[in-house]
Amino acid sequence: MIANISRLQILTGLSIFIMLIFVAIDTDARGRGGGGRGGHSMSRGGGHSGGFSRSSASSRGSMRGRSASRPSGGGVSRGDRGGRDRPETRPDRPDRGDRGDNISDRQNDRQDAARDRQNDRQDAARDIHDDREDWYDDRRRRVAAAIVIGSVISAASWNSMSCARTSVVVDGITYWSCDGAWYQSSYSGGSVTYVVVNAPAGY
Amino acid sequence: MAGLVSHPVNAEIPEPGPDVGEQTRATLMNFTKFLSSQKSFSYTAEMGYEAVQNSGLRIEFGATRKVTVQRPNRARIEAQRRDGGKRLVIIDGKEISVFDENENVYAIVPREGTLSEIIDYYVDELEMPLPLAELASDDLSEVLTENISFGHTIGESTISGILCDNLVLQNDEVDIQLWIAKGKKPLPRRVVITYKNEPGEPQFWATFVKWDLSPDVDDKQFTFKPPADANRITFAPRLAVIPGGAE
Repeated sequence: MIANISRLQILTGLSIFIMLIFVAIDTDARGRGGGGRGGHSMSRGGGHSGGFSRSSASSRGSMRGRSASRPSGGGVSRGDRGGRDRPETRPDRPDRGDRGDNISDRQNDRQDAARDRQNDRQDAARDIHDDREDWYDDRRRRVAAAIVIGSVISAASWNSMSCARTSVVVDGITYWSCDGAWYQSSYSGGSVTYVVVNAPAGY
Repeated sequence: MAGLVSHPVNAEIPEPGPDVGEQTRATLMNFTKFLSSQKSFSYTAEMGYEAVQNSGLRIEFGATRKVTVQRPNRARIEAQRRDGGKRLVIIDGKEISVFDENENVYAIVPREGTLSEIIDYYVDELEMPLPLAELASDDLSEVLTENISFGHTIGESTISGILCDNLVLQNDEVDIQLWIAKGKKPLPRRVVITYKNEPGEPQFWATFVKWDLSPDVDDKQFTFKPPADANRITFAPRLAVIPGGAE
């Protein structure tokens, strides 16, 4: 259980950190129609100066408005992630069996209750976390294995970097090395982005 | 974008209200019913959108997209941006695969359900763009009728030689101009969407170059095989990593 708490806290902390990074930079990637390749394009490219932003709510081409979300009650909402099953049942609680009136039993009851509450809280926390990030497991595993230590850059910026790159695949995911720094790539805000991470295991 | 003005709708029509004329409603129902009844279809469209810079300068970006849909849950989208970027999206009913050719990277995420559910997930949760995705949704009719507070038929209008009904639709967020072909195949030929609540009120537009109601829907169209040298990456939509809190 302690391991679970620690893992959750670590992942939560990492998520906050990643979110802040994502929010802070590379805003032009949001809403872009595809992975930017920069070069002659007018993409600003992850904080590089002098260009123009491709970012626009209109790039999404939604007839509903900015978000394609349906009104509540109308079809699939953000909270309804059908198709990604997660066991609904919680682990069986210990059978309390016969409870006597002695102090030891009452103490056990209190401990059981405390444990139950703790389990409930942890279950609830896990539920939220699982619901939110089941589909995000690949990323989570990567982040868990490779701490994000630097900024997110756009594909355009990545392509403009002149360093000699090498790549390795660890656990199915590609890592790139560039001038001593390690990078991973993700689709973020509709575009291909690269993020500085620590070295993958074994490197 | 030549020929378009910023607020063509407001200049031509009465003040908005909860009002959709019978002719407009009939045209919309005819169109949505017809498209929804197609077990498979494909279209190619030229699309563009305005990115309004902080200075107010409008710049248009765009792409050509070929979209193939096979109900209930398969789709293939090939996009080529004007700057050369190419993206392939394949929805096979079990997984969503995205491949960016120029970057030579791809990502795959499992997702089952109806095409509408899968598209919602792709657009809302993964925050990936899929312009005019509503055309492939099961609830296209709702999008174009229930979410609209005002609708009006401007009149007949010819797009690329095809006689259309020119409709305007409106709700709090968007003004939509639609050109629906008259005749036995009431399909959209052009759409212009104005995002009224966004800075600079940018527009999105699409002109449908080709509609095919008997497209190639062989399994290979919906099978993603990444190139051997492509690198697998992941989806990391930033809002999805907000920890724990309400969405």
